[in-house]
Amino acid sequence: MKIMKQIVPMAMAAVLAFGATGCGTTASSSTTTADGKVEIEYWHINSESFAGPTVTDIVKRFNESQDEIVVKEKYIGEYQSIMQNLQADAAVGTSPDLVQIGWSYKEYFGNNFAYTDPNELFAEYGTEETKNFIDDTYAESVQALAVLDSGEMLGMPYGMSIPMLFLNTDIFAEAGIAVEDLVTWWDVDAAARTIAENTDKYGLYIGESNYVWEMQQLIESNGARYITDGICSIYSPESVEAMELYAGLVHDGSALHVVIEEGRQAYLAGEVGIYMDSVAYTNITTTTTDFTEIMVAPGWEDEELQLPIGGNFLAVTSSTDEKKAATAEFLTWMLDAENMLQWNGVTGYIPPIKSAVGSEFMAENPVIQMAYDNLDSAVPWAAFPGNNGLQAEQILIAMRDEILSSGTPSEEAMKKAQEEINKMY
Amino acid sequence: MVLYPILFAMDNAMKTDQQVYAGLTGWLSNGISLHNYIDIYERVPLLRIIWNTFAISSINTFLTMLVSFLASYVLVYYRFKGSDKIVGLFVWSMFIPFTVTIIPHYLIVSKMQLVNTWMGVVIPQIFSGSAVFLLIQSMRNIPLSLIEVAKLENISDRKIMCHIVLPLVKPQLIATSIWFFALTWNDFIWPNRILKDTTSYTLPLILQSFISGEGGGGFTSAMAMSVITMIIPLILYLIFQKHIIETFTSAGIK
Amino acid sequence: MELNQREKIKSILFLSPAIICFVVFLLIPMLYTVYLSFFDWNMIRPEMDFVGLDNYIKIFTDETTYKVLRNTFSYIGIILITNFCIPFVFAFVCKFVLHKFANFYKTTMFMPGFISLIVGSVIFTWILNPIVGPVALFLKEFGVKMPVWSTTEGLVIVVISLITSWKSFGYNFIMLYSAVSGVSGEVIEAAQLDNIPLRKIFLQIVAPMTGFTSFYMFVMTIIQGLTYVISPIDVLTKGGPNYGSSNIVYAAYFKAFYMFDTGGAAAMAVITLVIFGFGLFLLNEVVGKLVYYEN
Repeated sequence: MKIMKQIVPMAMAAVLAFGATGCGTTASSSTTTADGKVEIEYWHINSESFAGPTVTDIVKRFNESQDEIVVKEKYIGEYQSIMQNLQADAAVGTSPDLVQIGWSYKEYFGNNFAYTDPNELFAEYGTEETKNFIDDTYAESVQALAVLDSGEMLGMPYGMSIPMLFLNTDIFAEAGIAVEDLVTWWDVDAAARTIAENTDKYGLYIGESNYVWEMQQLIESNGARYITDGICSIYSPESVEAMELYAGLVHDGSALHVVIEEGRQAYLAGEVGIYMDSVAYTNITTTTTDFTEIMVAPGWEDEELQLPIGGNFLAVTSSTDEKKAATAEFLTWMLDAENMLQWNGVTGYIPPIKSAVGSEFMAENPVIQMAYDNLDSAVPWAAFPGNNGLQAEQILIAMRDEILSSGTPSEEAMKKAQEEINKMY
Repeated sequence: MVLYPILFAMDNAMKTDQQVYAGLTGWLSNGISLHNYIDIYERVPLLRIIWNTFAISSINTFLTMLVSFLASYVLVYYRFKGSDKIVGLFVWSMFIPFTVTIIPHYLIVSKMQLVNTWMGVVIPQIFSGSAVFLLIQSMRNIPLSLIEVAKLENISDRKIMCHIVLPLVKPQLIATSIWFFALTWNDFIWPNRILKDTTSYTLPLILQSFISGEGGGGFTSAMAMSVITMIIPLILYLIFQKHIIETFTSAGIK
Repeated sequence: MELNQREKIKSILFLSPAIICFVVFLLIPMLYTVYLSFFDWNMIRPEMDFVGLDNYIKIFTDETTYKVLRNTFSYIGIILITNFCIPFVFAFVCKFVLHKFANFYKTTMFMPGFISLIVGSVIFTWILNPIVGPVALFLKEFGVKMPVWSTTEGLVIVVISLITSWKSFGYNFIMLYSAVSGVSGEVIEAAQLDNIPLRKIFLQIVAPMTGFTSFYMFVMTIIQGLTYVISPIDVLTKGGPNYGSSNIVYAAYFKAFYMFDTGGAAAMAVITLVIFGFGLFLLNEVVGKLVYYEN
């Protein structure tokens, strides 16, 4: 103990001195590194288990391929964490250069942050070859996803996902149902009930994330619309019908109503027959289980299928000319087919670029091909305009739980939610 | 019941996801496999992160203890007009919910250009009402007569502080330090605000990246990460157990 | 006690770091938060719009506020039972009835105190998974189907409170054990000789005689409980279902970091502070009188 008495304070003092010099930390406020390269920052949501290493690789190879620009990539968290950090940075006047913005934050981002329209970016900072980069790389319909009501383009679609159904073929076999039987939500309803009756498993689980994306697919495919002419129009006979189907299954025990982590765990452990979630889950489900078959989320009988696009777009938030030019160049690297598809292969997101069509990649990834084929039915993630968009989404989430947990009739809950949302406008 | 979650995590950290989902239960049924740990080591700057966590915890603990010790000494032995009020104020400050201070803390730290640094995490936490409270309690347990005798013999204040009081409260000081060390080690919300990239993360932050995320997290990797995060504070606890329990026990005897 | 000049300087010197930190990092932020609560801001826009009491009005006219408030009281109630009453009784039992196990319990139960709640929440998400978690499977053996607590109002609060009690039980137990130990053994023995039932001994002798510590633990349990609860809520339910697991502390946190409503979050935080302060004051009055009379 005596020796401890002397060593400990000394060690403490040393660590303290170390810390006081801010040693071992990185301050990200310089534009150029010591050797005159331009440094840009790229924020993303690719965690260790979700293509993080892939991003690191793409960035590393870019840095090695030239000596003017150094890209620093940072994993920030989920889309919501990215918004938080953007906001925190803005409060003190800094910003990254390239950011993945979740589609649900499109309106909020567009209204509150400074960004550069990609068309302008390449027109001004692009090289001869890349002046028309956006039109060269993206189909019109895909570009349209990232355009605000006012006509400005916010960024470049990067990660695109649509809702899919993951099916447990073992359970289907046990319940005596064929996968091909599932064509509409009515079929899903019947299948779920059959599964619940004939086996001791759950028939259906619709992912309940902290977004209303899954619900959007269900309801809007039946003809309802979250937003019409800028105000909430969720209360309609079609949406009530759709919701009632869902609620009915939950209330009689055929469908599961749990938080998303628990639901996923349940599916992976083989307790759920049909699981609805993003195509980004393809890899996890197919590597962890051997009973999974995947199909695109279905529509209803007479109405048009609506597949809301999830994922993210890339926004350019650089503040200086130098950085904008550097970012433009990095973008040409990122959206180059080879690098893009490398990312898509691991994430499961649908490639947004024209050059992916008919490529070998698509042939090797049938699920993504399947999703891609359905892009005609793709619609933007419903984003309520203005600053109240986030609040509106929360109201809808609460509505969903009120219907499913408390048993409030869909009619009543949806009407109330619509009134509440429109009150804010 | 208390130990179950700990053992659970350790057990699952040694399996693979497929096995877990296929229903492989049973303690250590896959044998002792360190593949998850190796995996983590390769994917994230693990040693760096552990170092960050260790450094931040140490610095914070040291500074907090220093500040609190000085303050408690004065408040216990130099009773002046209003010193009781200050004690009350400090104790009362323990009851302030963090939501009231977190936003301004962030603004202050960023104005000081300390975002993404260790000091940025540490500085707003230096003052701790509970540290002061615990130290005051332990100092009050020292018989006043001892101090008075020392004063009569004209021993300098500095000597009294360092050679009489300090050794006598050492066990409590150590115990409180370990407690704070663990608290800082496990802190998530505040470091999450301040530390920006993976090389500056602390363990709870990197753990988060294994759990949440768009593509879902790997369950067994998350378990392995949890074990790594838990281990050091637990080891410290087991070593200093006796001191720790004694300190908190005597703090309770008013 | 009058201080001489040198002592005065010393006391100022030694106290100053603590006081400076207190003022800069506690007092000023608190005041700034109050200031923020009168604006509509999201930390990004350079202009902050002064809206006066608007944020407060919005909070008080929002239905969910009342639900959140009710939840807060539910949380407090349950947390007090699991983290205060039960450890207290247990401490009493350990001290006066079952002497042998006290040390063992103290050691093992304190362990979770050193583990991050994020770690705990993640592990518990799996353990308490109502369909495939070990607890569910165990119950299945007995034919009991585990309720889906994460989306059941009411139950969700209970389970989340239990998770935090896993972490705090040990600490509270130790503190209360020591408080109980402070009660002189003779009084207990005398009471036992008089054939007073154990229950009464606990309630009417031991509990009041532990005075200050019990009070401190009572308040700490509430405050710590509400703060600890934030982690599991954030990991598991984000306040759902339908705000069923949210409480005033989480609501302020959510408003600030998910809704980016800085002004609203500040208002919520101020309201929380006021409620806590008022509660503390009330408690002080009530308990103060009780303790006084017992002596």
